[in-house]
Amino acid sequence: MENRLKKGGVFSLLGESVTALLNNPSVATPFLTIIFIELLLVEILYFSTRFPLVHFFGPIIQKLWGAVYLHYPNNLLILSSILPYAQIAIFIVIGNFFISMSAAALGLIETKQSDSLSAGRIALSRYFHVLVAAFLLWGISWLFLSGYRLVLARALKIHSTTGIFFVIKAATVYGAPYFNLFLGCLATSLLAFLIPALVIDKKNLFRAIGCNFILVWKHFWTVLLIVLIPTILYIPVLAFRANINDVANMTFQGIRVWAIVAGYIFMGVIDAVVYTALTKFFLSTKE
Amino acid sequence: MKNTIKIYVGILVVIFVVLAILGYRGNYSLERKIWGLQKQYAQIVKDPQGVPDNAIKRVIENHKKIIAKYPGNNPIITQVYFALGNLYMLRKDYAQAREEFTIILDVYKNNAEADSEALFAIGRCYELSGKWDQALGFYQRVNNEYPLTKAGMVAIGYIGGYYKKINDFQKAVDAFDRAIEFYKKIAKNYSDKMAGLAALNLLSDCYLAQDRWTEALDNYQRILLDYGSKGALLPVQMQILVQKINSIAVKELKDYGAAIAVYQQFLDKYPDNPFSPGFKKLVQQLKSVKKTEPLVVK
Repeated sequence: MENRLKKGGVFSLLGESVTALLNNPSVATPFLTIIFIELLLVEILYFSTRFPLVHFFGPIIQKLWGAVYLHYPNNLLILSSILPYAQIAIFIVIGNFFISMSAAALGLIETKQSDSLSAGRIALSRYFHVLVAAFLLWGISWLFLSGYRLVLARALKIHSTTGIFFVIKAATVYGAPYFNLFLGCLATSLLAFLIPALVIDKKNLFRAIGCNFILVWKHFWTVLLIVLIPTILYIPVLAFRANINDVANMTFQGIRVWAIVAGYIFMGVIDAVVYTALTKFFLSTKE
Repeated sequence: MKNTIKIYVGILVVIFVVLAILGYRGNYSLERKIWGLQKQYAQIVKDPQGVPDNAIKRVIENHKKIIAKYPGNNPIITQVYFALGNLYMLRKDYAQAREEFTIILDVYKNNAEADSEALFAIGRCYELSGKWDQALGFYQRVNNEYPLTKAGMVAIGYIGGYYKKINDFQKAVDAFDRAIEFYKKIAKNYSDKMAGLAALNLLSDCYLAQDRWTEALDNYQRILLDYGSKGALLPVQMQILVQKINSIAVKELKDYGAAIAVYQQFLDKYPDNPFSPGFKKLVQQLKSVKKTEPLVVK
């Protein structure tokens, strides 16, 4: 694989993973399912303040945010408050299951056993390990983000209005969404091979973690690039979402929902390419 | 894979359509339209002189269209009626504004909040057109007919504020005395209720308008002890209350001790209240400022 990478580089691997996704429904469908579940959730929450869903969600929203959030356009603000938490829950409980299913499918294809049902069975049998791996990834991301929050809190205490300290403060404050994205990439890179090791090699959790860190240690920069390059495509969406209040006031309030929908679709596609590339890379290290 | 995408998109579209149809009978689409009107209205209020008359007329027409499209007494439409009346007021067409507010009285016969607001607005129209006697009649009527509504409570104190503004001090004192008596009665009869809290806040406003700082501070202390301790105040309301207490104690009475005493009494009475840790910190801060800045105090 190292030779292949030297020949075609990371871009070639990413290209191969796009081809694998397009040619193998069993690899792509789990990622489509994740996007579908996320969009379904957006849809349900979007209608949560209207009949009939308001009967269930109304009292909860009223208690947590107040009655004004049951009405337009405040109801749209709730979406961006609830969804990040819902996204974490989906990622841990369901998302990683489907990612592991896709990795298993790719593993079976590479070993000429293209049976999508088997991939589902493998993912299901490894679900507990994958769930723990998901918690681990979330924990690492949380640690990174907490660290950044400390830096942010310190930066906010800077009173300078010019000079280097002002630049540091401005970069830390305004660059927060981008730094968070980078830290997310870093966390994904650190556990890049955990799921493939769990579902393809069927290692137990501790062995899989060990195997993951050995591989990440050996190929850290390659792995980081595999994660980082597709994620760069998400930056325009991130910039759009960071300025959504201004955009919504200039255009229409519903654009908040479209920004969320676009974000989920983009991120879903990026995740699909990244995880497929990582799985392919993992498989190649065993050749 | 194409089929999977088609199935997923199909499910999402079907669910969207079903929920949209089921939700159509609610007020959501109306709320969206009213939001659009509010944006137009806010644009005009920002700079009424700078907006061409034609633009205001167009916004007025848009308001009328919504009213025509949604006849009946849907409570959400009241804000459109009020905005329409206010637009006429901005154009100094007070007669037309009064007419719009009078329609509210006809359409929303049993809606005390809407009716009281409308009566108050009619009073404002008379006041702004220089007819204070008629305005006074409406302010008194709001207070008499709807004493427990927001407009009904505000009206009686507003009269004192008007006399103060035109420097008629005797009439101002008399009006404030009447308002104070009214607010005290409401606060007593509706203690532990939101009407009682509103009355106490307005009572403080009367004291502040007359520079009666100590009485205002005592009243805020009562709000803190009677309502703040029972979770009747939202955190943001508590924050405003604390700002007012600090402002009176430090700026007007020049006595940090007065604010400290208020918070200390709360802490002594309710040590386990969720707001207590915040007050403990505040008391410490005030004590340390009192030590370092004694000149401000005396």
